Amino acid sequence: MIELNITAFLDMMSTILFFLLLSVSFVNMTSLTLPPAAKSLLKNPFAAAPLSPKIYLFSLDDQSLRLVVSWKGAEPGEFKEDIARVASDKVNENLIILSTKLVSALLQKYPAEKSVQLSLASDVNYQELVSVMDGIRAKISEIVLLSYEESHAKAREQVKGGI
Amino acid sequence: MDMFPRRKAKPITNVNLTPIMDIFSVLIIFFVKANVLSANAVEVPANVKVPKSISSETVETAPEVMLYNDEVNLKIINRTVKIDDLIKTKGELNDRGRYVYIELKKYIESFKIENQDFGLTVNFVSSNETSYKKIYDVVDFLKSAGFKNVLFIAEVTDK
Repeated sequence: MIELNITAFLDMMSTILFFLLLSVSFVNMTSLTLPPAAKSLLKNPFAAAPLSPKIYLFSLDDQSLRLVVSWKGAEPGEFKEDIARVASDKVNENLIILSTKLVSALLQKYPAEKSVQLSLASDVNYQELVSVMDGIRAKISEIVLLSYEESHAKAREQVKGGI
Repeated sequence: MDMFPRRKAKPITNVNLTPIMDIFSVLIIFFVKANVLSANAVEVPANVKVPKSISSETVETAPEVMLYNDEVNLKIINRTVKIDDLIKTKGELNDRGRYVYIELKKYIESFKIENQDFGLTVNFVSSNETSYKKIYDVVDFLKSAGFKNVLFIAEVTDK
């Protein structure tokens, strides 16, 4: 009986196995798309003023954040709510839920809205940005990022007005 | 009497290697498949903790830009610059910022000639504690250079 010498083959297999084991990554990644900037296609100058809904997120202090959804149009208005902050390595689930809730309230009033503009204060972290985007995207998929200066102006307006 | 007594011949034991070969083969196929599937994913260094997201969008193959510790690594043009280099002061970029801007423009133009959209999307990687100001400044620079879409890379969470 001829016996095959498979020692070399087994050595090679072990090497490949450990190489692949070390190089593989099991972390599942996702991406949140920011849409391209676009020009307004408004052709009728007598059409109702656009709503241009905006969402602001800014910190009231180290422990809490305020989420504001505001709109213009014929009847301007806003919804707002305060929420506790969590560490940046944790997902603030309440922030996701609150974002979805306020956007749903906006869509109940104006069901035709397809996009929102989002502005966060400069000290708001990346995890909070992603959480807010997650909450909004449950209802509206198109989000345009605005400068942090807009959020600072909104925060000043709310503090000045004692709101 | 023999000077060298004969040793008692040991029975030849054959180890049955078939199961181990089977397991090895299955494991190798599994890891090769996992490697091929993750080849399209972005490269995130171990020290960078990306934010977590409940989004279920898949990651696209696109050039990568990483913002970490106030440094922006643009793998497309193989350059690392300070974030301050990408911010305009009095409406002007500094020399390093201008160089990066021109290099990115050249890169984007090459894709426009080939009429491809691939080069106009960029994967943005950063740590979960990065401030919105830094993120916005980099995204603003990338958009001004001509990138159409910016994809924020996050780790999938079930929560």
